[in-house]
Amino acid sequence: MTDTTIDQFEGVSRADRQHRDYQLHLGMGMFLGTVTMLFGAFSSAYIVRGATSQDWQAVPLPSFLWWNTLAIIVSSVALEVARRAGGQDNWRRAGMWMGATLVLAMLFLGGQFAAWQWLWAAGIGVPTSPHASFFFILTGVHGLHLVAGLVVLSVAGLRLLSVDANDPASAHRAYLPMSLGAMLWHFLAALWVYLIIMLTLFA
Amino acid sequence: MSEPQSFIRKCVFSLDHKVIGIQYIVTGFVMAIVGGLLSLLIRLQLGWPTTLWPILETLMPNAYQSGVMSPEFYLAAVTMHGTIMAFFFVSYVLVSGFGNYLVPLQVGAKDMAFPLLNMLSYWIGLLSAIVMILAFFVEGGAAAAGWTAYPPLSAIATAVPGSGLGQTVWLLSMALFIVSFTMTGMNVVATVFSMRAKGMSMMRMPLTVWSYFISAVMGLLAFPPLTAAAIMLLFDRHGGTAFFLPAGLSVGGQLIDVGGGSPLLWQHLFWFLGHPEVYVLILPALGITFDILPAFTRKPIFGYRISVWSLIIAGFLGLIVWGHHMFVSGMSPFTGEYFSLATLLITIPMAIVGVCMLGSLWGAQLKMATPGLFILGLISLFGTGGFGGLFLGNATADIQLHDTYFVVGHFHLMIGGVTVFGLFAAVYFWFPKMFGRMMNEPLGRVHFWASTIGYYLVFLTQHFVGLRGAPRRYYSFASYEYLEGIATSNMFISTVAFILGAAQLLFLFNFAWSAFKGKRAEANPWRATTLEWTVPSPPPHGNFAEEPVVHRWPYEYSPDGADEDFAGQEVDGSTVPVTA
Ligand code: HEM
Ligand SMILES: [Cu+2]
Repeated sequence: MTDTTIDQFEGVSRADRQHRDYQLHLGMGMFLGTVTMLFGAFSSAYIVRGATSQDWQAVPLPSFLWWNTLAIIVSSVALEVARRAGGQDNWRRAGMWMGATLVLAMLFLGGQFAAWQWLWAAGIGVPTSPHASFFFILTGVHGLHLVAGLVVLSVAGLRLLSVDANDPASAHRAYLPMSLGAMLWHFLAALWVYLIIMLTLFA
Repeated sequence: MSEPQSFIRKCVFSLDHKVIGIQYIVTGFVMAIVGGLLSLLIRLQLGWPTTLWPILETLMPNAYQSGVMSPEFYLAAVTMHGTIMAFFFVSYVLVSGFGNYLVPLQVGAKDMAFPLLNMLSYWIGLLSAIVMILAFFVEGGAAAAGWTAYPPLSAIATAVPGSGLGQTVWLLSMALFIVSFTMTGMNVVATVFSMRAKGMSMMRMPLTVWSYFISAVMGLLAFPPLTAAAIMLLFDRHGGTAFFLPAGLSVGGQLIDVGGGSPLLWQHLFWFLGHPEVYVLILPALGITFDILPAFTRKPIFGYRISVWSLIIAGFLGLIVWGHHMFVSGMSPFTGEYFSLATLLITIPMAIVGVCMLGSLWGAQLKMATPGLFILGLISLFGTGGFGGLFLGNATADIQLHDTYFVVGHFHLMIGGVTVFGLFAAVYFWFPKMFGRMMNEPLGRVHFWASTIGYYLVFLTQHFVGLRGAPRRYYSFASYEYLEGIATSNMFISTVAFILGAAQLLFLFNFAWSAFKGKRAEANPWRATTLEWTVPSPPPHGNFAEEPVVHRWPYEYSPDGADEDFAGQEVDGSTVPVTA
């Protein structure tokens, strides 16, 4: 912790603050590692359960799931645009794209719930077939992680509203959750692409 | 960092890693008392299966109807004993407890990387322990499907009484445990990566820190799959799914038609955690050995680098050998051969670690005190238990030995011996740092000898009972003609087990008494080299008054040109030459 003079805000030096940010990103990275292992285990269970039994029956899935997929991919791109704009101190642009991200994120979550309803309407529930069980559980667990991501992004969004260009502290307060949230969100978007491929092409 | 003043913030909802560490240690020992009492009930039953116990009937009317233990309670007792000892005793005291206490101090940090997460981890951990204990009091009693929770026993609520609410509570408690343990693991990894003092390169870290680091990484990788399995099991129990329930299953003569799941799938997912978990527990004990030993041999340890690499390799291999718990599950012989081979491969790094321990002892003039004695006991148990592992790791031999008392003997020497001796050594060694007082030495020695002799008598004998074919998890052997011969052995084991249990009271007394009345300790009573000994006992909030600077490796004992026979990691090269 050398650099103690420049950029004093939030009661800590710039070096301390960067160190802190690095730690938080490290923590997020580890968390994503555990989520990877979680879904890795679900995937191997999916393969084993499908291969070892006669009762596996693929259930139909609504085609609008692909629109959901598009929504989360675009939300991820929008978030990246917002994050980069924030990195260049362009807070208006960041705020706009963050708004787009949040809207698309909600669309995705709503779309996932609509998929559940579509299945329920077709008389398909969790126990109907192993494929259905996996669909509900995987989307559910993925959805819970998304809700956590949404909380982080909403915090970022709220803080973006009150960024004061002359106050580096307010900018940093907004950028940090945006950057952490981006790690999480990009990961979850990629995870969803993987999941939908597994659930449809390998049904 | 400013120090909190109120009692609540200082001792209850504390963010200080040392307080949290001690909280974990105390919680773990309380759980050990519960787990230990259960084991005595188990031994009472196995040693004297036909005797009546009216006192126990008064105490536990449901479990001891008309004075004899019910078979259902026996299963619940075995399940809860295993669960509590592995997850709530050793994990809490050795891994979360000492991990919290030692890692920041030994890397020269003022605290863990995420203090708030750390506090949360403890309180969730405490909650999970409480929930686990509550399982005894729910309808049907505690879970009874073994610490491995194999379905269908764990999946069908009507299978045995403990398969009902007790099993659900077990799963919930484990879920909380995993959350708490993951938080601690993330903290350890982040602390090692980002909080090391200046000069503390990875290759200057004490092996204690290395072992906690590797153990934490393994835990982070291995626990999530158990979470996935637990979620699926909960759905099998309450959501009508059939992940683990096979077709054509019948319980109590009644066909349960839920469909073609695979109980083997659970076994794979469980052991993918279960095997790494035993390494998560034993690695810290091995690492601690290398740091306590030189304080009593007064010479550098043998093979620091090769031990680091061996622990890393053992940790990695530990993630891919889980199938050796399933040799008799009907897996293809080729798969079995692979798991045999991988398991026997692990014995190489493990043996190297053992050789390095012996090499560290070579030619030393031992000046022993209790911590050192427990370390010697640990090394001996590590050898004996590992020797039994060799038999089990061989699929051909394991087909005979699986699910016998040979396995019970093996893992008690390892998980119950090595890790518990490591944890005792750690308590005796770091107690002066934690409380500023020494533990009583004569009491410690009696505790050591009683424990060592007791462990060997109990668990070595179990190996032989197993070789005679006595299966584990049986409530009574009285009705099997071929096992009549083991009745005396069982009585002998149970008798020793009670003495062994009584000897642990010495330890608990010593701990409680010394915390208040023990002899005052200096800052560095063992004349050891790692950073925690450079600060007062107990260390102040924030640990180091000034950020420490590290100049050397942690094993500079009997160096040339020093006034004393050791040089701490903070001593610079101008007084004592730096060797590593
Ligand atoms: C030399 C290294 C080791 C080898 C080759 C080895 C091998 C094995 C094998 C093959 C089994 C399965 C036996 C069966 O169920 O039929 C087993 C069980 C077990 N081992 Fe080890 N082991 C080793 C070290 C350890 C260590 C270091 C620990 C713990 C700290 C440990 C803890 C256990 C436990 C808890 C079980 C029993 C689990 C259960 O079925 O409930 N082992 N070991
Ligand atoms: Cu194993």
